Amino acid sequence: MLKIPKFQIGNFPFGEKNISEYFSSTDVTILKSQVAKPGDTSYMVILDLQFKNLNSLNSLKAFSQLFDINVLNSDSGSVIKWNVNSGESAKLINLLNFILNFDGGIRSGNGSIKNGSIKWAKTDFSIPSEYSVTLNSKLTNSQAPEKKDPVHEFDIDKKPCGLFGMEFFIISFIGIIIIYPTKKSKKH
Amino acid sequence: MIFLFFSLTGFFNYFQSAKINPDGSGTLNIVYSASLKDVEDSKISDR
Repeated sequence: MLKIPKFQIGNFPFGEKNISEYFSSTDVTILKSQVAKPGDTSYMVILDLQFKNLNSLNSLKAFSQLFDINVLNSDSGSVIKWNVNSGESAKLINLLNFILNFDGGIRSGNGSIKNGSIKWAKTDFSIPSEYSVTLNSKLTNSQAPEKKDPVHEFDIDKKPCGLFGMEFFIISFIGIIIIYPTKKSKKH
Repeated sequence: MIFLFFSLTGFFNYFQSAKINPDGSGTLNIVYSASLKDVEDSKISDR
């Protein structure tokens, strides 16, 4: 049986028991967890997690002070922003690769986009980074706040424009100017 | 889908891939590795 020393680096444990503590919550379940020793002095942890929504990943102990995921829903598609902080926990990482796949397609993002997936890589952890992606459609159960697209800013259900009072005054004034001389001339 | 990750240099590498469903749920695959010979004692905490 593989003997793995119990240790962890930052918020990333290499022991089975601690992996469960750091990578699961009420909305995040560990599907697979494996600790391997690919070399004499190297150790590797492989995890498959299942999450109910992206925001629930923020509740993981492993991601605290390291990652921060925000989802914003708009009519044209959901926007996912993934912040990598530059705290002590992040500075322990030498290389980070992240791939996000969405079957519905990816509209835009600040990573490398190919075949419905976007990929980011980070090596400098002395500065924070924000990775963002806009999906082709809106996530239906993301528990994300809604954002109206700019094209809908003047929907009819919105409050009337504040200039309406001035417009009404000008129209009334012009009306009086036109009507008053007409009435006066009729009297004569 | 198969993801391969090789830890060649550095002492702590991290790989993550996520698949998101239309309802916002999904799966997250994580691989992280460390080479203990390069790790300073101050960066490791025994558990």
